[in-house]
Amino acid sequence: MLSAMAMPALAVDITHAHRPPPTGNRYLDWTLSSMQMMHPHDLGDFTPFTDDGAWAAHYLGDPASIYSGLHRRLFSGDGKTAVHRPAFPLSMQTGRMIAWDLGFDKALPGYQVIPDYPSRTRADMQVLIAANVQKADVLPLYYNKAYALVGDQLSTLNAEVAVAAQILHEWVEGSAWSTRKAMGIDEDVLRHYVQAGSLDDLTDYDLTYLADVLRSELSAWRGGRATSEGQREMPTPLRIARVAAAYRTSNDPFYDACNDDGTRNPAKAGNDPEVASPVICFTDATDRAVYRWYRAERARQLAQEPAAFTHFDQVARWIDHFGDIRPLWAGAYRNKALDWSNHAEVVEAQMVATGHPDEADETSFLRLVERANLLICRSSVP
Amino acid sequence: MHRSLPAIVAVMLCTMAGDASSASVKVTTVMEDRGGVTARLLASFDVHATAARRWYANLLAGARPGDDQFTLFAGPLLSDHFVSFTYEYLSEGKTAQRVYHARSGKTNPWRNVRGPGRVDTYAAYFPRDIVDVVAWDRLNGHAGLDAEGKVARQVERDIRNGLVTRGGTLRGFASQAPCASCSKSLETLASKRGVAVDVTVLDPSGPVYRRFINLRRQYMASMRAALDGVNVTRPYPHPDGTTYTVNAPRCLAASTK
Repeated sequence: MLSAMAMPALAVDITHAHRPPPTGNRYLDWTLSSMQMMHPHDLGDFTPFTDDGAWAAHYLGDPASIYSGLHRRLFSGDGKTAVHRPAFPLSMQTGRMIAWDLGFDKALPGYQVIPDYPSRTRADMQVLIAANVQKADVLPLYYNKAYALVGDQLSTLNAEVAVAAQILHEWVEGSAWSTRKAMGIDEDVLRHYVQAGSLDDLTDYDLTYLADVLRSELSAWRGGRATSEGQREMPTPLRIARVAAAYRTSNDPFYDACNDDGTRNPAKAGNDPEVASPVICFTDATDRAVYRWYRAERARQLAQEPAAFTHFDQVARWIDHFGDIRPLWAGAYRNKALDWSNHAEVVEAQMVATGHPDEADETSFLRLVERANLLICRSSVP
Repeated sequence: MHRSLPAIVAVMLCTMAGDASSASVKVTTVMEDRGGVTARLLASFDVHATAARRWYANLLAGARPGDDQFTLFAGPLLSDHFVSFTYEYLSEGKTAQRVYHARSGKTNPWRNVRGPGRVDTYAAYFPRDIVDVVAWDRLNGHAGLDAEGKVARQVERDIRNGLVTRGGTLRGFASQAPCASCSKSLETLASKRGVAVDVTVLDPSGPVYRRFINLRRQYMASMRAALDGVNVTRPYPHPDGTTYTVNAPRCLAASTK
């Protein structure tokens, strides 16, 4: 049984055990300044933009491992100042923000999440579950409800619905009552979701609305803001992956990939997030690795035969509404394109498209879009 | 704590018309959005663009579109006006909703787009099990092309056919301010059927408008990449009119479905 009261066993290796970076959208600032420096005439030259592999190599201690900590250079600078603009931000704090946004960080209790660990988690969840839920910044109310409505056989879609409900909650909380209707914020849908005793209590309108919320959030870049607890939030795809990881942990009474303090159990934890077994230790794995696991698990769950589902009628409604929701940038690709959601090329195009849309001239914007398409396209061709 | 947004720029009561004293058309213009307005507009765009993508992929039948043909195809999806309206009404004492999406222009704007494949009509590529309603042009003449007019006539038709009841609230989200004939259609529905109409429109000088434009461009760029491969040599407009040099390989087409 997982204990919520175990002490952190991590020796204070700061590359693993550190607090989240502060809020603020310095990645967007860095991207916009890079855009201003692109070669004005050579369309194929994306300098000074850095490709995703280079970010990983620079910011991860061991880019080949899904359990890598951040690189030591993000915690101990050499005090140098650059004469010319460097390939990566000199500020360690900016670097840790970007590392967070690209999914290079973890969800270790007492460090990235649950700062008061080993005290009890607020929702009385086991700590390995609570760590993932808290990093996703989804209220236990919404997390538990999706499971209660559909069960655990499509838990990856449950995660998408729980995050959609949480986002709607944030919209409601962040807007004046008198403006909500005009701003397209339907709080009745959230109330129906919370009060639903079964999926039959939700109308098709309710489910379609939640799916629309999800599409909109996946299409936009929403980095650097504060969570409900004032910590740095994660991009939406990574939030979904963390919630899915919480369901996976919760659904397995014999889950032993992690130690009680959230670090991986080397004897049991998997190293390949794309295989179903042995499963990885989610709390010690990077957000990016957890996202890879979620994408593979989602494909496995949706590939099940109808007869495999206990309540196929319920599941079928869930799939109809949420099975093919995708962001606009991936609109024309096969579903596989979503595997690249957290790669720098896609993230940076999203930032320019939606984060500060007035800053980009049309040509620069389209160049970054094509840069992202180049990644997806090459990766999609056999 | 989340930031509050200076979202609503102006609220304009267009009309208090007709025999039902509560019937009105109210227009609210927004500069910024928490996400709800964009979510509705993307829902409308997505349903139209997904059907268009399937139609075009079948028309091409594996062939690659040329620049001129793809530009011809992409034009309406990049420039048309999109709307999404939710009609809220009472049904057997309970509140119910029905969502209507529409875009401006002809039902099939691609009569001049050519390809080797044999295709059904564009409308046939919309999924049959869709919950939301896509409103179509059923009139000849300019008024038939208005997105708001298509929705107003579809709601009227649904009231007449007993699918929804009169006297509800029609809440809309529009990518641009309604034209004169668009407003007239909504006012007519309001006055004849006692429907309260609220429309939120994007201010063309605001970030939310720019974001919606950019997302549509991204979608079309992904469609072109999927159908024709990525090619950074495409003749993007250059601010000072100078010539580009090109130093990047193409990426041949990925697949689409």
